Amino acid sequence: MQESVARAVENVSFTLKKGETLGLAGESGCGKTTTALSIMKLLPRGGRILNGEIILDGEDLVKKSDSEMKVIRWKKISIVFQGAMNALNPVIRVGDQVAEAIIEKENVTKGEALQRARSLFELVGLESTRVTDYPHEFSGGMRQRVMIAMALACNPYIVIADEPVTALDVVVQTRILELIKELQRQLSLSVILITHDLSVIAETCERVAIMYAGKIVELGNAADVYKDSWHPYTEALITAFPSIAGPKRRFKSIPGDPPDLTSPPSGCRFHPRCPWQDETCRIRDPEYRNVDPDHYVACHYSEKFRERLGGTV
Amino acid sequence: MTAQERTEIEIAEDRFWVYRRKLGDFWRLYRKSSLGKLGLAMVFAFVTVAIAAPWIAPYDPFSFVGDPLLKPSSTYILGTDQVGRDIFSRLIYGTRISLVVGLVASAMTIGLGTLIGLVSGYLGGRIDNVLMRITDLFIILPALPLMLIMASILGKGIMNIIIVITVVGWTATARMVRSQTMSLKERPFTEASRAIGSTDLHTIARHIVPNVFPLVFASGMIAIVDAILSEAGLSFLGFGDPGSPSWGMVLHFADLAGSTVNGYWWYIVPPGICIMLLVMGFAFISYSTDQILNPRLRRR
Amino acid sequence: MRDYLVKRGASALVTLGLAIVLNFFLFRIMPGDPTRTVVGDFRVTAEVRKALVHQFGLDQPLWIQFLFYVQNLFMGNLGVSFQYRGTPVASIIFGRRLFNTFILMGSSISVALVIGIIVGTIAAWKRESKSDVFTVIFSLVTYSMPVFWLGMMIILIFGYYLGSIPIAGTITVGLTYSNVFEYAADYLHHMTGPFVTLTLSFIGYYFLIMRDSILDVFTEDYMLTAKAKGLSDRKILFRHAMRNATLPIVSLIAVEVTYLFGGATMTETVFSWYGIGRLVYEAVVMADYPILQGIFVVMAVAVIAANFCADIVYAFLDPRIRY
Repeated sequence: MQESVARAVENVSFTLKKGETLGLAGESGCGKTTTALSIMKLLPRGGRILNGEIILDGEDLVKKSDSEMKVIRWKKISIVFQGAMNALNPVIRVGDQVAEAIIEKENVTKGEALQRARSLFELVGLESTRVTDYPHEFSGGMRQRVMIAMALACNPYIVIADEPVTALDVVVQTRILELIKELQRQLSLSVILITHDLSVIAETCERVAIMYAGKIVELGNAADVYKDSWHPYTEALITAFPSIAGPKRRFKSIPGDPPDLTSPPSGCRFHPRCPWQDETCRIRDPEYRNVDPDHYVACHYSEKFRERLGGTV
Repeated sequence: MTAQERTEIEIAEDRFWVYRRKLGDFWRLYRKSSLGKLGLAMVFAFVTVAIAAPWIAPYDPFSFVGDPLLKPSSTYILGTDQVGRDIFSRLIYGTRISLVVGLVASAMTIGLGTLIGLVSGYLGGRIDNVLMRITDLFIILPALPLMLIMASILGKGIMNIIIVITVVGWTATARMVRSQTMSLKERPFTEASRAIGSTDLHTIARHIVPNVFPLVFASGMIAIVDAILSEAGLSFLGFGDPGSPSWGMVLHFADLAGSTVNGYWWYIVPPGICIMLLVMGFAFISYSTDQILNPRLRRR
Repeated sequence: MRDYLVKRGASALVTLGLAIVLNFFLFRIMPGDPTRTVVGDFRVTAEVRKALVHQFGLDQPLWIQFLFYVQNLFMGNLGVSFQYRGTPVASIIFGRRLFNTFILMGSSISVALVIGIIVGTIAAWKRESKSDVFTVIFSLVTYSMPVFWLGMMIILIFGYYLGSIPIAGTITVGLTYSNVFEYAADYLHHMTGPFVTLTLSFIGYYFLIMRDSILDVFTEDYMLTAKAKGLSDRKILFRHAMRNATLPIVSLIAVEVTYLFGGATMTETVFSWYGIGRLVYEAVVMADYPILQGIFVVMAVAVIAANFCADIVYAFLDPRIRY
């Protein structure tokens, strides 16, 4: 009896420019987090990178051993997890948790590291005296700030933010997103922002990749992707979010469920839920092609789709 | 048939298929565990021996068939004890006692424990307080001394040993079932069940018990292990049934004969190995079952 | 935190009270002649028995007897033993016996704990490697061995065949010592057998529990964070995982205190180690209830106190309770 293999991420390819925020959007289970974990080589037991390359600073991370990755982690890339409820160790003071990465990677004393932690706290809008507190003494939003401070501890090039505001209420969401944007500007960070919430992407990202069932179905400038979608899924996602300002209409949800990644649909993975699917879609996997400057799409009928859209909208 | 009856039958059928599927899933996962399969095989072997005892044992375990304290030979595979009984035959018949005590005592232990845990966890309030105080007291009482005292009062005999084991052992299950019940009580399906007007008994039986079952099963395996070891210990100290060839009893007589100082190894080693192997069988099953049923373990 | 400790302390006192009550009535409801509790099975004439009953206040109503019992308890009077003809129970328990049991149990539990915790942690880290599987099976095997049989085997192999350890007792009878070191050496030599037996029997349990606890901790999100920070394996394991995994162990250890005071009856009996465990066995056989009653009270106090201490330790280790 064989165990099944889930191809969580397939043919995902993108380039991250310095200082830019790239959004990774899609439904739960579409492979966004797996992509992020793969970049940092943090896949859980049973997870494997079968092939591909991840180039950072001219080096391919896929080829690196675990001990080599340990040096790169946090120093060049760091990550902020979602729901920092449990992402912080409950029995260690937050200041120490921020400082330990610094101590591990740079030649500083504990006192110096803690001093850095205090200034990081101020940077993210927390009182520096709170470095001696424990995680449970902070609210959700403040814990997220702690996570952000921690992620910046070693001055990384890239910060991956995995659903950074999903667990927070709307008011706090805005503040945290503003903080991220501000820090990015100040420190020239590159950010990969992972979320299922398109409004978050719209607020923060220059470019966005829409993922479905482990594949990127559309990639381009955020404004282009929103106003000028080339893929039916993207359009469906955007219209699924009601707009307060727009005309009243019924909810348009996407029928069906995301596929089982151990036996994905034949051909285009989106075809069972796509209103425009036909024989070709069922048989052949669409090519990932360049349709506009810096705009890519994986669909057989994007041109036709856009014509129809132009007609109905 | 009223609509409600019809729905109930549908739900019951559904549940049956869900169970079958879950059982099938469980078995599929269990088959993968070599330790689990080994444990099952070992237990099965012992059960076979117990059932087939009259046909396998070369001699009557209660009669004096040879000279005392003979070393193992072709006539007496494991030698004889100090009154001339064949040790091998005694051990074979001893399998029955260990299995019976193990299964019955553990069943009673977890039965009592589950009952108290369910009642305490579900009803809460004062009943819970009272029951928990009682449980605490039983936990504080030192197990072995209590067992010895009870055994000396109740007298020798297998049933008494079973009672003694139950009285001392129910607390662990009770606590576990109670905490599980309390957390299940908060779940939506319990609220839903009460909202549509089911009686408490109905809710407990239909919703809480099936969800508590995996925990109870795992606890049951451990209870079997404890029961077998307790019986062996009590018999060894002389509180068992002197007439029965239970493995603990055999070791008791071995000790009386001074086997350790005189080097009668055939009298000491085999009974202990029997106990060890039977317990190991259940321990392996317990370990493998735990790895599957415990959702947190599976997540890893 | 103060509230927490006060609440815990109050609860402990209530449980202690209940335990004392239970202890009293447990031995009063023993079937048979209630005077047995004090007078025992010794043959005495009817008048003597009556006089004794009156002297011990057994003809008083039960609740008055209970008050006397409690009063005696607070004065440290645990009654007198039968088999040792009137020797106060307190002196029997709180003497040589307790000392021997303490040393034996204390050392074997400590060693088993330390080894079990460390090896359990490492095994969890190297899950399913050869060493992990080996230690798991080793633990399951030692866990399955009846403790008294393990003792017998050790006596057989190391005592009878190899002659390296003494067969029984705490010290060699009739030997004189020129200094305390010789004495200690002889004592420890005698302790080797029971020590090894007990350590082996405990170690499997602690190992499996710690391993389980650590594997549980591995599923927590903060472990992924620690790994993402590129910390060394050692730091992740011992600084992050272990600190959290030992929390549930603390409560478990409190239960082990029962052994510290109650001794391991089986092992002490097999090795004829002059401790409390063996005392329990002897007292049951000789129906010496005052001793048993005394032991029960001592153990109840010990366990309740230990649980309370565990609560305090837990509060120190887990800041979520402290603040």
